[in-house]
Amino acid sequence: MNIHVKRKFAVILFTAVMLFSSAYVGYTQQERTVKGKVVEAASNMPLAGATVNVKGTNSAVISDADGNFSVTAASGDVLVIYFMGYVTQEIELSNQSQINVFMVEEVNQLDDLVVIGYGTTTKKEVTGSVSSITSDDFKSGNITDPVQLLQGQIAGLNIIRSDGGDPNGSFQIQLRGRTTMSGGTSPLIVIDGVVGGDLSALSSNEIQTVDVLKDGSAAAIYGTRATNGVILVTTKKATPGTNRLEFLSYVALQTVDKKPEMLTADEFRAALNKYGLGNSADHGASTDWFDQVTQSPITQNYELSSSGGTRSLSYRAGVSWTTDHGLVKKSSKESLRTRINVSQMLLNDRLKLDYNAAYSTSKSVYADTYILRQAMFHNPTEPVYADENTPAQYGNYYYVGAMEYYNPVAMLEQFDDSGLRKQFTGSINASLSIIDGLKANTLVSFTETSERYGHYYGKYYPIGIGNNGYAETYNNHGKYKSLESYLDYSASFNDHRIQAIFGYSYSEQWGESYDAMNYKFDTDLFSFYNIGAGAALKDGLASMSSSKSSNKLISFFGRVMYNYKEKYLLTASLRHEGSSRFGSDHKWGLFPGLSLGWRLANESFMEDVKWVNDIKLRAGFGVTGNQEIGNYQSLAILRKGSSNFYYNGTWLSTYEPGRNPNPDLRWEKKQEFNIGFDAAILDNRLNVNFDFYIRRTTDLLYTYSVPVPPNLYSSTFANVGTIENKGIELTLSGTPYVTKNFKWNVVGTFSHNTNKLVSFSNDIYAMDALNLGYFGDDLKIYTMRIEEGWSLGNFYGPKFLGFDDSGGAKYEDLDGIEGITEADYQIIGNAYPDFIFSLQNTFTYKNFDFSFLLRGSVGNDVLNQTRVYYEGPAYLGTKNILKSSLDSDYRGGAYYSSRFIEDGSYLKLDNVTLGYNLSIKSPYISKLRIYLTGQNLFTITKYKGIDPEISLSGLQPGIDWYDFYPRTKTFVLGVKVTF
Amino acid sequence: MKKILIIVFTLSIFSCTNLDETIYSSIPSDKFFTTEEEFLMSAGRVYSHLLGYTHYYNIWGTITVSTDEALSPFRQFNQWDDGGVWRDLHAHTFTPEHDNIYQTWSFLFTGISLCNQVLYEFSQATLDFPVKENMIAEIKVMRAWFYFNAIDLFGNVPFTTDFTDVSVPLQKTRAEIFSFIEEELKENAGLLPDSPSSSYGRATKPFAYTILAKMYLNSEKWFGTPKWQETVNACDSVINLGTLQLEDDYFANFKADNQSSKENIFVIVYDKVYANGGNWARRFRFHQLTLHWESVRTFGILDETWNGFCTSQSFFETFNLSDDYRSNTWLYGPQYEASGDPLLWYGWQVDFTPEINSLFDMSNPADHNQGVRFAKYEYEDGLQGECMSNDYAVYRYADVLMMKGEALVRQGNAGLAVPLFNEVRRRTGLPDYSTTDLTLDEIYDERGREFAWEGSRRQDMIRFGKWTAERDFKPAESDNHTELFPIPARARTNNSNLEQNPGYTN
Repeated sequence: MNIHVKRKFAVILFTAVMLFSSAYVGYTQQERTVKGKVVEAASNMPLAGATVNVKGTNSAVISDADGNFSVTAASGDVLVIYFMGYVTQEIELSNQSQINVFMVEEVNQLDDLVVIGYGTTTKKEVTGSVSSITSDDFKSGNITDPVQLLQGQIAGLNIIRSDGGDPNGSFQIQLRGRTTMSGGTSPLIVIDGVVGGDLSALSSNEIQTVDVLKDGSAAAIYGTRATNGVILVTTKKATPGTNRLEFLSYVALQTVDKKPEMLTADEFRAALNKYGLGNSADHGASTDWFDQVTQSPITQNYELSSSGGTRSLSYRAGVSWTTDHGLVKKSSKESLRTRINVSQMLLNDRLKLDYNAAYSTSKSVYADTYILRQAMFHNPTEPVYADENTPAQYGNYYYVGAMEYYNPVAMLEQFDDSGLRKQFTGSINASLSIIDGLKANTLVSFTETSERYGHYYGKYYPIGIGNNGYAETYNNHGKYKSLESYLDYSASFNDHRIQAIFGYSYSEQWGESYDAMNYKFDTDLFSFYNIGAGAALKDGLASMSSSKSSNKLISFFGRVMYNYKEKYLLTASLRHEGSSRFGSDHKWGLFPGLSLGWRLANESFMEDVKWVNDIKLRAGFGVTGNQEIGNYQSLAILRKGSSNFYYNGTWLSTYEPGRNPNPDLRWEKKQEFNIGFDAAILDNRLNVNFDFYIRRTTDLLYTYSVPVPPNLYSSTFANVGTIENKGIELTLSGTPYVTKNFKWNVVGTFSHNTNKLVSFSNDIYAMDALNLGYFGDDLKIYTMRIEEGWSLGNFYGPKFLGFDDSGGAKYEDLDGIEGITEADYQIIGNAYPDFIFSLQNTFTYKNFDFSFLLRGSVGNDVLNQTRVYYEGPAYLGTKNILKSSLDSDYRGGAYYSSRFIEDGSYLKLDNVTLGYNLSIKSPYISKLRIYLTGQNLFTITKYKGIDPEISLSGLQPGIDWYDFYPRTKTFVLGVKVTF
Repeated sequence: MKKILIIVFTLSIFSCTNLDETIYSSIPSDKFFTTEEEFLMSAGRVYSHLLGYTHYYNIWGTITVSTDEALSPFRQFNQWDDGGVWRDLHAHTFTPEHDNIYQTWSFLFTGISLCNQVLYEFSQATLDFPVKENMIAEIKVMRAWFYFNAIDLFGNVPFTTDFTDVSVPLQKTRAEIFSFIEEELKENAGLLPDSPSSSYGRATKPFAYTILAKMYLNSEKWFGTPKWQETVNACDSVINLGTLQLEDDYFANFKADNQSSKENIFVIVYDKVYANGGNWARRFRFHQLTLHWESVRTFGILDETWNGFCTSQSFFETFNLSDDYRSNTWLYGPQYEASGDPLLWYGWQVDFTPEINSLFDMSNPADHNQGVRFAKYEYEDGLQGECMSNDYAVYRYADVLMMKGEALVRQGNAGLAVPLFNEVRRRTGLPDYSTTDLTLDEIYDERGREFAWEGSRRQDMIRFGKWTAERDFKPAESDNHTELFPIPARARTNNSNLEQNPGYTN
């Protein structure tokens, strides 16, 4: 803790020094001649050729090569500065003699480029459902994974940090509902054209734009991997011109937002008394177990980036270092991310070469969330450390014998769990202009990933006492190579414009792993770094394994974009793709996409409708696939069995078929129909984007239950079912109010999705129902169920009607037979929200900016597992129970029912940022920004648990498991300096 | 330069379209079955599959908890609810959705499919090796054993012996399959070794005849056709081999190192290193099932125990004969640490009492202390991990002697039966039986004492007409439909040919 506090002060001090030392704002006496400099606001580069005019006069001057100008004017005059493509500025003179004019690029979103995969188009011409955000829109704060930047920004994209506040947690991304039963559910990530990238290896400051291909017609160009949408990331590139250096830093403090509300030691004693349980469970101490295993963590981040060069050779290099500590003691993640980009123009500017190299490394210390569960239900009257009655084998930790009941502090202190991850990505992109309008583009990339995980359970780790230290280490090594090559042709004939691509893509992936386990160590000092030292190896009880696998994807693709007078737009694409993972007759698939657009605003009948600046109707249809099923699933293979066979006094290995063979294994296929419109109205002040979609996934892959015999195993991985998702998405963005010094921007998103499992049976494979959401401990009960025709995400169980006089629970008895059995179960809730929404407001006043983001979800039910077990006296004694138990008359055991399905609707203040850009006149510093951000500041909800924002991916969404790592409130102080 | 780039570009487009998979860490099926050892390594799966037998969620749990010899009451601190599987088994309120019953079904029919597949592999073999014919006979006997269990538990069941037939199998009657098993055993027994010790843990001649004896013994109950003489003959086929004998020490059959037992006919070979199951569902974990959390300090066990399974008070009371050495099957009364100090939990001495508050009553659950615990299998000092190294005895020679004795008594020949029962009883410290002692009720109780938790009780209760009668935590049943378990709902979803057993809905 001390070290953390010291670090915190160091960082704050540093930030303060940065703030005050370099700032220097000059004032001089009033004069008749006014000098000034015009610079481009975004880049801080001088603008030559800007016109400076004294309002109401004819006198005008032009800025010189360094952006400087000089005019004669009096105090009170207004200077008007304009430059093509930039917003015209008016400046009222007071007594300054030197004026710096920052020119801001004119916002005409219609001409903004949109990245669509293998090329770009413009916002006005795009016909698919594509959402974009640029670095200007990025939130600030403790952003550990760039995915966080997209949260609440794009309608239809539901992003949840399902691991709560875990620094090593990841984000779950779900686009337009769940489309698969067992395949991958994450969107395809494409970073600078390299398909299948890893966003967490990238610092968010290195990203220029993010474009999301949402509908099937847009995503179809990525074929087999595009069912869950495509996220195209464009990183910041080399910019020719003055050498620039940027420094960023922030420090973040976190506090727990909400913790489980269990009885304190005194309340526990009172409760033992209330329920007449005697005092044998009172161990005499008062311990807050949650506090024992948590801390108030601090995160620091430092980033440096440089760019510069000439038009023919330019560079950009960046490095960032982050150390993120978690709420649970010991948990942390430290990452170093570096990236370099070099651009070269050759052959009279006909050939452009881009070299990219990125290396990232991270070191994680993982939190065991089981510790949080143990801390939650631990008896608060127990002391932490041993007393004279504690049996010696439990070391210095207080011990109470009960099933699956362990001292949380012992678990924390006696367990090391850490990992190292390194990733290198290198790519080279060559773009050759062959003749006017025809370009050839080839991208070759190589990614290598290595991971090492290890954990060590010390001698007194309370699970497996007697192991005398247990070590395990895993090593994984992955390699990915790809080639993407295409020809790009574009031409205009009169009012016709055409752009076409045709290409080939090849990628191959390898994975190797190795792991080793051993126990019975003489000392804890080795941790997992001397794994051979354990005695279990000699006893034949250690284990070792390794494996290797690979897969390939090959495809041919083409796309034609055509428009007539920028009025009638058409995009057609086709990808023919083959994957090694599928059965020999089903390796290749066809993925077409077609979309049409009609820009109504360009029609003559719309000329008089002045308030509409642009309106475009869109319709699209596309087919995509899902191949995230793992390797070798269609092959007949033998694997080593897990047990041996005693044969004439010796033990023989056994070999068994890997699975029931299914040579018909093929793509999971999604067909999506999308209609929508994009409109810009009221002087382009308000943009409206609306989409309606129906997506139908057929040939759903799942492990279906089959009869044994004739099969060897009771399940076969096969293509059977159909899922349908339907929904709408609405994005409103605009500038409701703007004056010279003040600007207010608003972005609101809204999305609604419903889904239905149309079928999961056919002639061969039959499934009545799928029971999910299994609660193992003591209960062994399924809480969720899927049947044909139902929505996914249904909670299924008895309906709670209230308590009877003796403190028992009453449930709805559907079958009339006494006792509550499965026949009395019914649908008692659904995990998916009716709709989700977000609202982002940004206010800029002079040098200040202020923004806040609200995110919400309505109609999502949450199953509160903690209450199922611990709201009631069943466990009181050996374990602690929830405070809320005391408010209810319930006297029975833990049992699942609708009583624990809660409305999880919420509204969150996700991000609030106050920033200040200092006007600086310094030969060394050109820009300086400081900001203060609060993240996850409050949640408005009726939900009784810690946090209703629960994982919604997977087939058992909406369960608030009692191992949840609580989210934190985060306060960030940051600075950004441009030299 | 430009030309070179164009050539590189064009070449790259037409490079590779080959999508064959390269396999590194497993074996393509067509590269196996080239040596004798490879055939044995495949056939051995029939035996490693048996490791699942003793699991509490498998056949052992099903046929034991459904009788009076074992139960797992809902205990204080909300333990052992387990979705009701244990109380439903014990109180005979099971339905076709019951998970244990499905797991049991699955164990048996996976075994049958496995045997069919191994036999198919042998039939395809071009390779010849000396033990091939014996191996085939062994696998056929194992398949007969799986079918024997299937008709015992479920009555009419799906039947197939041909792995290449991929159609969903048809249901055959218990009688049809009975004849199949009978023929299969008679045809193949002759090819098997005489002694279990030379072919330890595998199908042998005495094993095949023991199955046959059990079939005949239950024939009257199953079909109304008594086959007492056939029972006697089948038992004699075992006895006359002369390869088996009773152990002087009853518990020698259950020791951690019980491989030397001359009495065990067929065992499932567990070993903490080589046969620890490899997964959760294939471990021999009686210690975890039955022992109190604190009992680890009585036995020096380095693992967690779960304080669950115990025996019913009425069954325990059948052991109240003074001097019955077999009473050591149970752990009861105040408990002590290995050092002799009282075994404390929360400051109270652990004391196993025969009385049990309730089977399932959330407001009056069973105490952690209640129920007498099982200790017939030795708990090895220093046992670490979830798998005991004791080999589980499926059939013992004592059973053959007592089956023959029972068949003789039922034929009215108690005089010939007396020496058989006394041969078994002599090592227990109890006085010899006389002819008049050997009533059917006495035989029933004696079998209970001899074979507690050995998987024999369910058949005995049904055969002796005790299954549907009132007992602890179970009222008398109005009919005898529970003598067959329901065909699991999941099995019927997958195979629409299967008709449900009478008395069960859906």
